[in-house]
Amino acid sequence: MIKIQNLSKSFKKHHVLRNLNLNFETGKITALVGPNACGKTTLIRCVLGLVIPSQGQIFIDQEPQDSNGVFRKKIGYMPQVPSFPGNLSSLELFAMLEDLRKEKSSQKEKLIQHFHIENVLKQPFEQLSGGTKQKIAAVMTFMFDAPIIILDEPTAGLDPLSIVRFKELLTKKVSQGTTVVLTSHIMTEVEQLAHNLVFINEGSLVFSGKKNQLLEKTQTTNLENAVIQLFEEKKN
Amino acid sequence: MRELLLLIKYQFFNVMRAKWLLFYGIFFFFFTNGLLMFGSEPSKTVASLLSIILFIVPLISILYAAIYWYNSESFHSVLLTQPIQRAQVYFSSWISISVGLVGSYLIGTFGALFFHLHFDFATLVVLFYGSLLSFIFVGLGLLISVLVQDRMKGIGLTFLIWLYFAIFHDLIVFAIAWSLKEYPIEVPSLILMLLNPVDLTRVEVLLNLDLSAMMGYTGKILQKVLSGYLGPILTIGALLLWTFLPTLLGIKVFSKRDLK
Repeated sequence: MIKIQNLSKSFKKHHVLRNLNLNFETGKITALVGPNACGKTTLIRCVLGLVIPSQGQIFIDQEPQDSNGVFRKKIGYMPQVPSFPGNLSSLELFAMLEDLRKEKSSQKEKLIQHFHIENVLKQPFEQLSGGTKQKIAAVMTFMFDAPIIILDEPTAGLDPLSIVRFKELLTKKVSQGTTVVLTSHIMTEVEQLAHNLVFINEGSLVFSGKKNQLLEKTQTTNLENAVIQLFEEKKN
Repeated sequence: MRELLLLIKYQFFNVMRAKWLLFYGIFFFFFTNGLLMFGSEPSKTVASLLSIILFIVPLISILYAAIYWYNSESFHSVLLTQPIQRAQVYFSSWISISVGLVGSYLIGTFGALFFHLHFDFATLVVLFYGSLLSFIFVGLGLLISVLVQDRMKGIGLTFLIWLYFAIFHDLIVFAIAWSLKEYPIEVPSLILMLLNPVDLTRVEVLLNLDLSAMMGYTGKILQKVLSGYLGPILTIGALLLWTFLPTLLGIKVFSKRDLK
């Protein structure tokens, strides 16, 4: 489980996160939703230790983040735009992660087949298309069976078949007890995948709970309308 | 330590496949080759090699380090989602870029030296200090890149810093010496020399090889002051500070910085 306690982050005078208190439940998919620049990515980056909070603490499985970054062994992260050294091949990148984590992946071959990327593994990363890079990043995210997976707009660059395959994989991992934090602007995807929903606006927590609680609260029948209502409420 | 060595290995693979380094090595091959073909006497050949190294190595090292760092920012973010420390990422970048540049320059120059079967102590001393200069300026390039988040401003600043160390610093020393010609200026000149790694390298090579023909204005004043035991200790100590201090400062800044 990920526990966020009194988390605030400011960039100079700009307050990006304001005193957030949240839990991301074990074995569930929690979708982080909110308008552009509401603080979703900053929150994810705080969890990963890439952005240093101005105030507050983050606990991964009841333990506070350590400065050595050892807690990241529990996390698999898929960025919106994957960026790796352009001159290295995907095979070298997989080997690099295995070396850095001191762990041989038992899932790698299966994942490579799952996303049909066998033919591009020896090509330099910079020569791959955006979608293929995204599939490579997906393999890297899932190849270690990390108990926590963080996905930042994961399907944005994928083709429809790969999206289906990605969702199958995600559902399987969650059924095995993996905790997933997902950001997405595609509400049908959130509705289909997420168990819980966190809505952030201007760095403040607007809603955190189960999907049906949000539908009850907003008295709507689908998530898209519920989220639109939250947008409108915040504006007014 | 294991993670650090692994990071160095993979970053080095990436650095070595860049075309820039190939051209860098080829440049030094042809330049050294030209010097050996047309140089009249060995001391002048070494002096010319030193001049070009003092000019080109800092420029390419500082610029390449800054460009590499800015290009790798997203990768560093992804790398830091793995169980490794920021200091390891920074230090491995410094080592792999420096080793890549030094390797390329040494292969180029040694290639030409082998071609002409020309080996002497003086050339090896020049090449050694040129290599050290590469580590120093890669360290400075990386430090500027972590301090200045704007890519264009950062690269511009690295160029200005090179310009200062390669050209303007000696002009300033000359102006000060000229305006204070009535007074003893050895100590202020010594302090000014310690503040410039290019001058330090020049003087250190000259102290080793006794090449008075190659003196810049700073060097000329200081050869007197630095002869004896004190000279090498002071210059080597200062060069080591220039080598490690920017990197230690860079690690400190990078450890506290928010990553994009």
